[in-house]
Amino acid sequence: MSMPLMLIASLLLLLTALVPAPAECAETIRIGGSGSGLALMRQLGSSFMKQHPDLQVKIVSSLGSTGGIKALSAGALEIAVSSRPPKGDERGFETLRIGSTPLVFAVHPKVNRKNITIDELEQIYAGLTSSWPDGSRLRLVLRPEQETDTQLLRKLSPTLDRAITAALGRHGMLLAVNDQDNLRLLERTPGSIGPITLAMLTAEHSTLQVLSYNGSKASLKTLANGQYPLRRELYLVIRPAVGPATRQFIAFVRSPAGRQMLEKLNCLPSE
Amino acid sequence: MTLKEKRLRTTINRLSLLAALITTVSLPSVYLFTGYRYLQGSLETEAEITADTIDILVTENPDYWRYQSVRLEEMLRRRDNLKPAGRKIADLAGNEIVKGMLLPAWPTVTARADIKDAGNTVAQVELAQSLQPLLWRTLVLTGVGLALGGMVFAILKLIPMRALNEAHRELQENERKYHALFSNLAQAVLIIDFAVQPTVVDANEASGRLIGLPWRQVIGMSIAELFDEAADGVVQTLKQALAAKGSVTHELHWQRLNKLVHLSVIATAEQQVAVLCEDVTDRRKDEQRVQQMAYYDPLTGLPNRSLLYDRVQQAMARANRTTTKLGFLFIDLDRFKPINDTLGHEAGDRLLEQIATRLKSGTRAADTVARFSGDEFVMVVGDLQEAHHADLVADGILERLAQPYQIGGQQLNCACSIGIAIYPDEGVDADTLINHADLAMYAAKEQGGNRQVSYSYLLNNPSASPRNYPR
Repeated sequence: MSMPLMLIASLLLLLTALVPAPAECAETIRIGGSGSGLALMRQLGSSFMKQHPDLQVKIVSSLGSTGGIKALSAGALEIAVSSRPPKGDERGFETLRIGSTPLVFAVHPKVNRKNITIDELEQIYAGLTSSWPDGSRLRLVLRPEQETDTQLLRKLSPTLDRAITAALGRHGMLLAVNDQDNLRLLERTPGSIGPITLAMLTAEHSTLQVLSYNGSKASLKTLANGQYPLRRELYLVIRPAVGPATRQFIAFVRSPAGRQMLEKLNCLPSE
Repeated sequence: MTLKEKRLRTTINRLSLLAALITTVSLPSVYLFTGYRYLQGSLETEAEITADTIDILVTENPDYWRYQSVRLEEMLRRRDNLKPAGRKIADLAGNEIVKGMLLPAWPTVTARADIKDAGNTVAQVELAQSLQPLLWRTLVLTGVGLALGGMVFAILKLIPMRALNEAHRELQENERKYHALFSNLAQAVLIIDFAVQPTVVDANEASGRLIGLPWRQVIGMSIAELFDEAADGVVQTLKQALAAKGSVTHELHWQRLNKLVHLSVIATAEQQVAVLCEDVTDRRKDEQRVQQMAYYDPLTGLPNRSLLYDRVQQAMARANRTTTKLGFLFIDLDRFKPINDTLGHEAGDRLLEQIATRLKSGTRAADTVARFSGDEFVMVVGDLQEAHHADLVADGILERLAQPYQIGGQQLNCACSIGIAIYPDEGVDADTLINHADLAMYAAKEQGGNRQVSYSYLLNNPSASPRNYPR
């Protein structure tokens, strides 16, 4: 090889070394799990990446709390967002409660309702009410049995508990497997009604109408003072041996800026 | 029970059993087979549909689809119409991605379908379902099949068996009846089998009486032992009956028994005949006696008028064939009535017997001497070349009869008158010729008796014709 050619090759190698690494090469924090929490994490992640351009936050959708913890266990995620603490065989993780958000009943924008009572819910879940007062079809969107939303609703009354069992057993019911599906189904189904978190509605800029429950309007204030009874917690689950980038992200979530963002998204930060 | 009947019963039993077995087995086995195929097909279809649904999930989220437990479980549960079914999703290494619901009870039927990521298999859906409900239902149907099979067996066996028993009963009754008939038949019956050599295989009591042996002893005797020198003829007759597949009769003189026996041979099977043996010795004698009475004069033993006419026909036919003549000699005893009147009919009868004996002694075997009536006799002499040869025969008779007779210790003399007519010269039928001979005999009587006159003489000498001829 001649001298000029060797010089050109050396210069090229030097230039290659000086060019910044592409985004894929930056340390990536993969976050997945409960859809309600992911909507918050997406916005928190964007702010975090602005402060830490060398780090990347990747949101993995559609896993749900259980799937998120599974993926975490398999090393496919760095952080799992869950609406419940790990249970049973999911032990061995570090769990951080980041806040809670009102669990509300949302209806399609064209449904003319502002409030829902426990009696009405019992009637709807039992299948005794199948239309709205204006005569239009009422379409209940169910959540799977193991979903936190379903478990929370079962605790409201024994009658509702039985009605939910009956509804899950009825053939042809609408069922949203995860929070994203739930939001999509509620939004595009005329006459729809179903449980969803206020945080998710806020984060996703949803047009769904939020109903008061037994006359109580859902807000962080009513949630904090206990006036509004339906609450869904949000947890971050990490492996004990976690990288510094993940620690940095968690610290950001718990920072005043992060807490402010959570409040803005209708999530009441933990103390 | 015969061997054939035993075989028939065994065949009926086996066929009934086979039909029952088919009925018993077919119902549950068809149900089990179709049920299993339906279950397998349903599971395979469900596995395919589930896998196709999951394929979409895989394509949307190739790295994280396996962690969407709730969604995957819902996908597995969504078509849960085949409860209880085991369902799981496993990766290619066999690790369970989503664990199934209940593990179905053994034995199971399983179906698998590949979950694909852009055509590459990344996992498998496995559905399993217990066969126990199907097997229980099959067991119940087996019970039903057993009941049906039992009914089929009973029906298929009972109906023909009942018919067979009925036939058997009738057969036995008939056999008993016919055996009684056979045993008590007055006629001797021998059943002879030709399978190896002609041997008596059955015999009735009458056969023992006929043969002079205990009837059981007759069974087993060969034809040669039984019929001695007549055996060959008997065997031929039996073979004829077998060949004709009908009946043949044969009459033989059974030398050992010194009896005339009539055999009626009837082919009863391919190699078997029934031989009805009838002792006809007495009957034949009776027949002879009747014939004697019908055709012979009981006193003299000479042919009577009926036999005379019969013999005349035969003699005329023979004379025509040989172009010879027949001589008709009408013989009437001279002064027989006074003898009868004075010495009595008994003496008259004895005289007639002796005259008959003398007439027979002077004639050839081919000639006929018949008692025509009372003291009248007609002799037909054949093979005459010339008409006057009859005159010679008549002269001989005149001479023989003119000899004295010894009747009851007395000597009697009795001559006779003879009229002669010649066939075919002086008549072509018996009545004409006898009338002509009678006429000539009357002429001889008018001329003093103990002489012979021929009808030709009367023709040539009309004045010699009898004046007092009564007919």
